[in-house]
Amino acid sequence: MAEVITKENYQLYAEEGVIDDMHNQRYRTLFSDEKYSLRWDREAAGIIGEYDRDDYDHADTIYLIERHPRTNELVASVRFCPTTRPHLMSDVFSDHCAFTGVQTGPRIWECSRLVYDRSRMDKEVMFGYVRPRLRLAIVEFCIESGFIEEIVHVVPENLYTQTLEIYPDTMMLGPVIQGDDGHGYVAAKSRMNERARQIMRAALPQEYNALIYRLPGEPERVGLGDHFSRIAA
Amino acid sequence: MSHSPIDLSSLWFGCIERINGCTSQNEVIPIISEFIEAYGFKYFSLGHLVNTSKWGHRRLQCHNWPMEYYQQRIADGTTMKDPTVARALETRLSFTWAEARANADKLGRDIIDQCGDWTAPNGWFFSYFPIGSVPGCFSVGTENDLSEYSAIDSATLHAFGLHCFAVLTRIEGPFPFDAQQTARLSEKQRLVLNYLAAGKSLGDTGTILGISEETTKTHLKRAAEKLGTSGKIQTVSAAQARGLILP
Repeated sequence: MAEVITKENYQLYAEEGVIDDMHNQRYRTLFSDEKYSLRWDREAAGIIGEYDRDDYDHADTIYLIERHPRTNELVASVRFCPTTRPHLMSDVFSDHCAFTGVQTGPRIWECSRLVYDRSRMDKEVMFGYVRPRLRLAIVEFCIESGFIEEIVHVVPENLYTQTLEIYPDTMMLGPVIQGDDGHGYVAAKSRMNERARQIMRAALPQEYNALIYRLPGEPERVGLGDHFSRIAA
Repeated sequence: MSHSPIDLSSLWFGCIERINGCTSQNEVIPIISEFIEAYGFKYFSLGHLVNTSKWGHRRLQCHNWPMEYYQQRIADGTTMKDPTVARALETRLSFTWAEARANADKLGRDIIDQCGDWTAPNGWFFSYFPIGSVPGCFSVGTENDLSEYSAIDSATLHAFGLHCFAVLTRIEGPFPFDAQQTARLSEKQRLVLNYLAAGKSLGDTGTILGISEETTKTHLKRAAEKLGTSGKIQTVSAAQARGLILP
């Protein structure tokens, strides 16, 4: 199950060391790992130390994290940023939105820094367990939270076909633009709706719960619960 | 400019929204035609870059060329000798038909020249190499001179083709289509495998689900057929590995 981290329970995760682990993991999987990382440009991204944390990791940012089914280690994470504040698409990837303009609004959130830590899991755990669960969690979180109707995200060109398989109501926002790594990237906007949820649900047992929301001093709960609705409101 | 000024945002939103709602290749064709016509292009072909039928799978392909054109190509035996396909597989880049012609043998040049007979002597060829699927392509033909088009026009058509190819791939199901479909377990099959994974016997699982042991065995057998496995342990392990049941 994916755990939801908001400003309400951030401190709880910080005290457990999960937040630092997540930023270190992002650095490893995006910038430094010899075998698995994307080898992004550390200097261009303004990375200081071995810790990926930028201007878009702020109080309004929400994270989903997945743990290893057996070791309980953090193995994947993704962040959501409101497009009503400066975000990556507006600040860095606006050229990628040349057809439609940068898409913003209270119900459009940016999904970025989706990382899977392959050094902490084998192929079966990665593809058979973690990935389908995090994908479902993303859709379920958007629908259940009640405030995210669409996500904007940057997708490698060669993964665009897969993106449409999981989020069928996706629109490309601009041309394919080559990144520094030589690969093509596109900006896309995907609707988080029942159609997407059913595609994700079909890969998992019907009774599977995708989300957990923990608050300090309260028992762990499955799903987002009433408290989350009040925060969202 | 070889086409009238375009309100790209409006054309893009309109066509993409409609294409996303399509459920068959035939529904996609008029929308793609409308989009390319706005750019002064007349014909298109969209589909797999390689012939998947040799692996026993249906080839994804749609186009708006006249049927006579395709019949002529089949009659000539030139369908699989198109030089644009060879060039795309070799370079993995986008190019003009003229570039493919310049690198082709006599048969290849004749194939490109035939397009001129159908009032589309010039064209662009875009190719796509998705991870986990079969390469795709989008080829568009026009009687206009391509030098009159901008790089933005080319980039727009490239992106549009990529989106349409992804939609068609979703409609047909990811490759290999048959294997993906058979891997979907029914709710009962999933429940049986979940209880077996939890260490229950076939008899206990049947009792919990309110079915006989024989029926439980049948569900297990059907699940094994879908997963291409044999035996209880192998089937449960395969279902876990594919994320179909809880680990």
